[in-house]
Amino acid sequence: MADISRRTLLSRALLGSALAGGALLGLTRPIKHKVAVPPPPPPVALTAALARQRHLLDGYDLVLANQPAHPGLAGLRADVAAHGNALRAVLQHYPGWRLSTSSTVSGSRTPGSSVPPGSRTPGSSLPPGTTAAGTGSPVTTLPALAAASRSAAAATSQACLDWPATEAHAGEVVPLLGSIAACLTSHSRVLG
Amino acid sequence: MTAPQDAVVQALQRVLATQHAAVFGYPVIGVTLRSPGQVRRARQLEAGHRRTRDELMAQLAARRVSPVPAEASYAAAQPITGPADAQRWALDLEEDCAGAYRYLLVAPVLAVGGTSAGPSSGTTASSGASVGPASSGGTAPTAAEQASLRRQALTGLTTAALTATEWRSLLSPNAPTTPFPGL
Repeated sequence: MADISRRTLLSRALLGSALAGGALLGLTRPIKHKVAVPPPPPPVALTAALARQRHLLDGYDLVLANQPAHPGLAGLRADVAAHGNALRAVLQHYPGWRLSTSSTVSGSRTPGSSVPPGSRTPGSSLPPGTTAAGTGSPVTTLPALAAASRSAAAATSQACLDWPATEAHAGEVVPLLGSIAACLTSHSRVLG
Repeated sequence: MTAPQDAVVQALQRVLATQHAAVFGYPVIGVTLRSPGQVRRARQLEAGHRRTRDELMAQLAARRVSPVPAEASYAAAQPITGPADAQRWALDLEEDCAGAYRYLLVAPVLAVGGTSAGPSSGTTASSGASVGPASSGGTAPTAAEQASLRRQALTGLTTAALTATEWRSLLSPNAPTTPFPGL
């Protein structure tokens, strides 16, 4: 049997008690993990408006492909494209949107898809039947384009009326949605 | 510093000023137009603007505010020498109305402390949209008042955009609309 010096015995006893104390402390204290919390998603009312805009723009492209010489259709399409640019500019105010778009650049997500279904953020009230995706059946004819414009105008008007006045960017969002709604109403009238 | 309600009152006064201009302008436009259908439409629009003007004056009076008076006369940007000039003036009048209504959309938001830049000031025939002597500044508009004002502004903006589209269709049939009415 090997001899153990008093110093070794003492140091081993000290180490053992330290380990036991540490384990005891670890069992009794909660462990705090530092997790990066993603920013809140952008308001659904804005992402839904952008989805409607894309749906309309696709419709214009399909109709223009069939009737490239239609007078005025290119102008209406340009209006809708401008709406998209303005909506994206406003969405840049929301970190959740910026995160989703930067993720898209890296190829992992689609902008606007960061919104969980049914999530409600300021100004997120949607008219019945309107989804964040905002897409119905593809628009291929002028009457369908008129109907889609009318529907988009109604949904955008409602979003404008429902947007909370105290929301940080209300001074910019409310008139933008109002102007887009008025423009789309004019489009539906022009398209018949 | 502008009191919360003053922003709303100023916006209402601005809408009223554009209605005064339209009430003055449409009779002149009407006698210059040639097409009977367009003359009839000008008369309808004059009546509509007159009705809106009266409602706005009553709305301001209810707030114990002196409504901004009409100016002695209003001039078009260019001399009216024919139907096209008349149509262009009608378009200008409706675009001014749209601009004023767009501002009315923002005013209640600013009154409750909403941020971001408001719309750029439109060019109206009458810019004297000053608050009357008995202005009721003070508290911010209530939620119900805000909702009512926003609905009024959106309806006015949409109506003005639709009417502007009618006149623009005659002047530039291939570009009858504008992406952001009132801007």
